Amino acid sequence: MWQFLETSLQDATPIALAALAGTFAARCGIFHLGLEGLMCVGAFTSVAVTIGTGNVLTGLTFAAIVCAMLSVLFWAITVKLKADPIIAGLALTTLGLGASTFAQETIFSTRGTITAPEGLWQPFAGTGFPMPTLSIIVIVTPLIILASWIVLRRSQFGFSISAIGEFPYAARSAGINIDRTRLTALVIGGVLCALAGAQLALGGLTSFSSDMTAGRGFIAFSAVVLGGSHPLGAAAASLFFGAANTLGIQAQLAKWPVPLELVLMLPYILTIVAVALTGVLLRKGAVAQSAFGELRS
Amino acid sequence: MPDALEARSLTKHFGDFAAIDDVSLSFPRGQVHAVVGQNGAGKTTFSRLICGLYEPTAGEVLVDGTPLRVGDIRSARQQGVDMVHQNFSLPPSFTVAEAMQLFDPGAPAVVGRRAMERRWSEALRRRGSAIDARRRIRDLSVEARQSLEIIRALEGQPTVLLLDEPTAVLAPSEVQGLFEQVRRLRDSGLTILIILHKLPEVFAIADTVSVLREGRVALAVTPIGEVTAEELTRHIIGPDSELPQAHSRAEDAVGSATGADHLDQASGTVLELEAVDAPPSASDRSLEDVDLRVRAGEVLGIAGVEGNGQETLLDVLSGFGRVSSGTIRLEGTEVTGLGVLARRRRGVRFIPSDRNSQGVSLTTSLWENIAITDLLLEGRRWFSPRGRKAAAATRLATWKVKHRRVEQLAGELSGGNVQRVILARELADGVRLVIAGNPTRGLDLAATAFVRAGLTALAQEGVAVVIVSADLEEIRDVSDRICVMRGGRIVAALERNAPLATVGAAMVGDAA
Amino acid sequence: MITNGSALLRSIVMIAIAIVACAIIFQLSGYSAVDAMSGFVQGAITGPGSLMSTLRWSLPLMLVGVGTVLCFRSGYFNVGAQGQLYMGAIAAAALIPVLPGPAPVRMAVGVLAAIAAGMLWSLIAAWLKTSTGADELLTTLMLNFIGALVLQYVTNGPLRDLSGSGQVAAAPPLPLDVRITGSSGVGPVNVTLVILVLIGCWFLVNRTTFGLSATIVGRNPQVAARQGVNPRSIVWSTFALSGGLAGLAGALEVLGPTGRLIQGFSPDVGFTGVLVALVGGLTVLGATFAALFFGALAAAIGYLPIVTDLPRSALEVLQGLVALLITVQLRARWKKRAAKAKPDPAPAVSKPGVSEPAARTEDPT
Repeated sequence: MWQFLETSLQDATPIALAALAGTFAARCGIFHLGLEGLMCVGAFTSVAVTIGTGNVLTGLTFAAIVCAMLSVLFWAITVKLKADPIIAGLALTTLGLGASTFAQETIFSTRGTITAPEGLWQPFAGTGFPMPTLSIIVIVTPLIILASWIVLRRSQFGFSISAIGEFPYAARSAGINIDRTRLTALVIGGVLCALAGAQLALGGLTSFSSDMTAGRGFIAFSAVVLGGSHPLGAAAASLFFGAANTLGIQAQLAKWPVPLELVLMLPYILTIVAVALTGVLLRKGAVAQSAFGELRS
Repeated sequence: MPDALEARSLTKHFGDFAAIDDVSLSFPRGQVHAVVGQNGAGKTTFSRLICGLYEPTAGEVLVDGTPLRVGDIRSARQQGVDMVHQNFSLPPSFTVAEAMQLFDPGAPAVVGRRAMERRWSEALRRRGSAIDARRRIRDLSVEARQSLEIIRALEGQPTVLLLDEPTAVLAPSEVQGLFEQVRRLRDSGLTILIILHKLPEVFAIADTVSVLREGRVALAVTPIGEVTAEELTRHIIGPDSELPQAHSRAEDAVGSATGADHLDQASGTVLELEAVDAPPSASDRSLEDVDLRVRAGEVLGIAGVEGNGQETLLDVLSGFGRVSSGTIRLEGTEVTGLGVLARRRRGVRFIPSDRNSQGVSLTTSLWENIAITDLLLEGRRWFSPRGRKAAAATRLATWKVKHRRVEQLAGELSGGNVQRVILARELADGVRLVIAGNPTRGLDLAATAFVRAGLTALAQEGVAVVIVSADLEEIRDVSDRICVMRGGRIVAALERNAPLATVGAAMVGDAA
Repeated sequence: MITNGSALLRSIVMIAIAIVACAIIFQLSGYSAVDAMSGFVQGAITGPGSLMSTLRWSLPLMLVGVGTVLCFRSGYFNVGAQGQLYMGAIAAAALIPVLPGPAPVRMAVGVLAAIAAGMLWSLIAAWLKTSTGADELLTTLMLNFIGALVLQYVTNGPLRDLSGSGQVAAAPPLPLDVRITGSSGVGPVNVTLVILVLIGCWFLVNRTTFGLSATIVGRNPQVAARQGVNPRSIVWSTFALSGGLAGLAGALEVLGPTGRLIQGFSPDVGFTGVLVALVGGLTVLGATFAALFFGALAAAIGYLPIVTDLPRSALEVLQGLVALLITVQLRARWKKRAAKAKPDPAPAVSKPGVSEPAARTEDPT
């Protein structure tokens, strides 16, 4: 039981952090499909720099910086150069996955696995706590979720972000600098993705292998949609996906008659249902919607 | 002592179009100033310039004699100018407290929900409002949202408050409440600019009135006691409203052996609407109990202030919009349930009121814009571009469209030529009924004359024409009969020689 | 012609920028950019068997890319080619071994089944679009992941080749007599088929009322609807066509070069197909050339290890950069999308019909 919870939390944490990043973007009106790429870059950078410097903290810092820089690039392309955010997001994912593999092969001359000398600090190891392998990132993630909730739902900055995403006319008439606010939201998202990647690579395995994110960024995106672009909703959806994943693997080990793939499909199926439901709700308010549409710019 | 608010040679261009052209107005302190004008006269642009939402192309705004930092809504607010937007500016998913917080420049970076709600509950109570600060904006009534917008503005301690068409969204009973509040605010020393559509409201609330027409000042800040409703109507719709050439169409008709005869001969009813109700369309209100009858060879003009159901009527007539009850007949056959193409095949042609978004695809070539209509009407599955281009070239030449090649994108043409392309496309063979919405809006004089001549010529050939227009002059020039729409209904059916004042009065409501 | 010359020119410029940026990255990473470029040229064009290899990778991209063009042209952002391709491949691979009859018939039925399967997978999104208004971009994206998992399930479960020793799950190889091409992936049948499809799509787009209607729906749905085009039927037909083409591509893959159903085969074809459509300026002709370009890249990357030690992932970097840049100039046509892409939709608040019509005329933003 404790082990199940422990594995679930470890599975859920990267998804939850990336989902928070997606929530920041979604609330200011950008569907962020680059989460997967950012996460992979974060995972690679944290491991590579940890190998190079022998210091996990330096690895984390560099991962955060690199992901923040990529987020600035994403912002410049989508907000300043007006590229389509969806295509640019998918492009960022392709670029992120490709670039981390490319860098791995260039620097470490292997396409396989690179292992860091040490992983993230596990504060509970050896204390007798029933979940000893939880990393520091897993442990602080509830705090990060809480902080995101405060920032998004209880701060002036969060109100600005939400106004931009929902009703740009309101943001403009409140005198908010739309571009700069979006930049901040995307950079915060970049740092969160770096943490997500670092947990994935250094949380348990202390290693990186190419494409190790394995679609978690897209599951995180599903969590954003399912969670209604709310930080707590996204976190809850992530926890659910993490638990479902763990359950699926255990079911497979225990030879239950449920195919693993069906469990893995769950996030995507639920997202389609959520999107369809939103569509129905939207259609109800279609007339008012179009009236607002004219004010968007 | 300088006036509370002054606009000096204010000008705003959108591309080539001057929405506001050299407007100078000065508003004394502590009064209610009404600004009126037709749609497109530039009222909303004017107010957005003053509140700092737009940056002017030229000119300046002075508050208490101090120039306003232009194009910056925050500094405008700091200098004491705030605006209540017509479409409202509070995000619908926010709670009342959150929305108020969003607009408060002095708000702390992080705030607790309770503290926030307590603060704004108090502020609301202090201003005599019973709105619950915990409710979501989208759950509030329109009236409550508006009073919240006003409170939101007042919290910034403004000296000048702009209200952009505040009555447009309210029911008549609610307007009284709004006006009482406006009077109270004026009595407390605030200067208020209020943009209005309806003359009775102007006389009910304003201390002074100004009129904008086509982006220019038609009447500068005048005390309300010094103008009559008739004078105001004339300023709004244009000074040359009673000139003799106005009846040119009528004279033409009389000249050609009495227009009435030519109507009687081709007296078959082409279009008939009976008790038509329709739900609201994308941009306009619902229709209620509309009866219409148009005979062959007749031009029916439908006048009215925009937003009174004309767009919905256009949609319903073209088959694009659905009716909820009532019947539509075309030459005696019921077509109520038929879609666009089925009606087109029966000879209905459509000139939409927004040519750039509904009439042609601007990113598509001229010949394709024309070919699509023909192909659908003919029911053909494939075509030869060469043949279609040749056909398009002939049609464009007939309608004297200035263009270089048929492969040119429609968006490269001027507005007048785009409208000619639409006429060339729509007014080919087999036309029985033409439905035109604001067919000459934004066109220059020559293009306007051309389009009107085209439509009248069609009527002479026995085609029934319905023209829906916000431009009274146009209605008067081309119509055989005039119907006036207000509140989704036909409120008046007049002959073509009805005095303009009568038509205007029916449009804006009785100005008694 | 519909072809927008300036769009194609800008596509070329964007690709050039991406290539230069990549060359700089390669050089800075310690590879010889010159070697890499000459390796690309050899691998794609001048090397032994290179042209064949380029064609092998281009053919599926042409099918998927042109299918994407059909949808994107009419303004529907169907990015679900990957899942549709997998469904087609599964249908062909599952059906052919159990069918009776002579090999050519089984082959033909398998291909038709693949087309039907791709169509059905695509029509799920069309159905969601027309019945609930669900954003097709999100649903097709999710259907891709689901499709990949279905493939994973099928190759690990019902169709698993138990005799195989491979690390990657796969179905048993299909008998040679039902294969359309050998492992080269280029044969008279599939090349002819693709050419016919391209000609057919070109005709559809440039010579038919349907194609013109779909194009105008994509550029301005309001105008199309007021001419009597039924947008619903355009959704169904374009989704069916693009799904069918992706399904066909899947069948050609399992009945051709791969010869069997393998878990996660051709993982990038769907997204590269979107790039092909965008780079090709949403025209059939443009997409054909774009498919040749991306096919050449894929061929070159397989050849590169012979001349330089540049890793395969360099291709992904280049594709990512192209994708990042390619929509920078397509924006004008895409405003619709931007308005849609928002969370927490604004609900009904104002009384319908009382919003200011003049906002449109006075605020031309």
